[in-house]
Amino acid sequence: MRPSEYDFLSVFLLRSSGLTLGADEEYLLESRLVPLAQSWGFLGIPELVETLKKGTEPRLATAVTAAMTAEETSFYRDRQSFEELKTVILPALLQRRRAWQPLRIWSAACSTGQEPYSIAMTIADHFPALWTRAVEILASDIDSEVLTRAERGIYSQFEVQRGLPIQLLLRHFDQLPDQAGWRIKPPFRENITWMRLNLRENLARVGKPDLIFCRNVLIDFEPSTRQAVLGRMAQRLAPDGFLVLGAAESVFGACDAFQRLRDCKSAVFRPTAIKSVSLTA
Amino acid sequence: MSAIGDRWRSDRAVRTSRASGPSRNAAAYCAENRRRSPPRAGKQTVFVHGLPQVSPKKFDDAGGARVAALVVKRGIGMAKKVLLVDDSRAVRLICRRLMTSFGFESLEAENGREALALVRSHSDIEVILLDWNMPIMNGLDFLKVLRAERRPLQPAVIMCTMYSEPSRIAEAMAAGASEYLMKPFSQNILLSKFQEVGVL
Repeated sequence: MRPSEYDFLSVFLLRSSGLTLGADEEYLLESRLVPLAQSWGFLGIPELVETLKKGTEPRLATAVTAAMTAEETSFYRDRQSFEELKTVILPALLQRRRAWQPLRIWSAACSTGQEPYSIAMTIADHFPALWTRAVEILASDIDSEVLTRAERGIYSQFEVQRGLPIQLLLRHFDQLPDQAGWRIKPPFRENITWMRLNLRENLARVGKPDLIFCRNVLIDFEPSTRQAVLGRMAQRLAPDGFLVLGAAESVFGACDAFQRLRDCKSAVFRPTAIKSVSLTA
Repeated sequence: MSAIGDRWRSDRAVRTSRASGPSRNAAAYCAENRRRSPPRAGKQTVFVHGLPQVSPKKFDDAGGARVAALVVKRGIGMAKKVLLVDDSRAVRLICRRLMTSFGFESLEAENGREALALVRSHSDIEVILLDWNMPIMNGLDFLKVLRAERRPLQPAVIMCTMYSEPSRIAEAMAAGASEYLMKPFSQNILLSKFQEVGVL
């Protein structure tokens, strides 16, 4: 990429979205814009930049902004959440449920599926009896395109290398021929229910989950929307269930239906109706 | 800039074309490394109040920001050592820059034999980024020798190669690799692997 193209895209993104690129983030631009350029039939970024400069394609401008501001996701993102899923949350839930009672887990805003698959792999590896018998994982997102991708369970070599230990790649994925990527094994794809769902709407379709993963989503919402979504989640969540938010997120000031669990370093919350905020107290 | 390892073949072609020239040994490469980006002397200019200044904005995700915080916390004289073993000078150059941004001090070798010499003379190497396909001694053979040696501290080894077949990955892991990195890769992937082996 020529410096002039990098400079143009930097200014363009600053104006269109407030996104500020550092001096050495050329690879980030290329990794996100080369596939976009190809999908528009361009030979590469230079042609894309030329079209942007002409200003004749407002849809392209929107697509470039969306591609650059899209939240990155990866397997086992914020590892601490999954560590505490394994050591704190699931043991606490299993202690309170009978063996035959299914455990319901909802991954809200699952994007391309790395989060629900990471949850599923954690359960399969550490709670095999639960995995084979009594767990229901629901994964939802507002974008049906990413849901289709998630359901196919095919990831590029780049995607499977971010956050996923190599042993888990070997154990749970099959390599596709002709460098077409890696596909998560059938039991994981088949045991997850995929649903298109807007968190701003009625959440009745998710049923009554015992555990909600809703990470790095609410932070993008207006305070009033965040409050409303948290309120609806509080209505859906089992009275002794758990809510897991992103590392930088909190319910403080937005919703008093949840309280933070002191036993966890990651952002884990329980309904306020539960008296103790510690599992060991 | 393309992803790391993308251009390794062309670099190898260049190296082959000048194969008749004197081959450089590891010490020469380390000397070159020090001359090009002298780690201590160069860092003098960026230390303030005894701590290196690393802006979290330099990284593009929360993981990167955490690394920046770690680098700041670590301070002077505490840089961890990484050994970069790859016969591609371009890959070593890119990796060295990334290692510096992660707060590591880099040593370099262009084949397994040079790497063994460096490992034996530097007991404080914490992690090795190891190419598989190299002349003289390949990465897998180096790994087997390394793991067979009695050492007070076995460094973590991240196999870093174009081979992506599950059988190859399993072979490297059976030989004692701590993690496996398939080329090409990005800065974030490298960061993720370093976190995976516990050196970040």
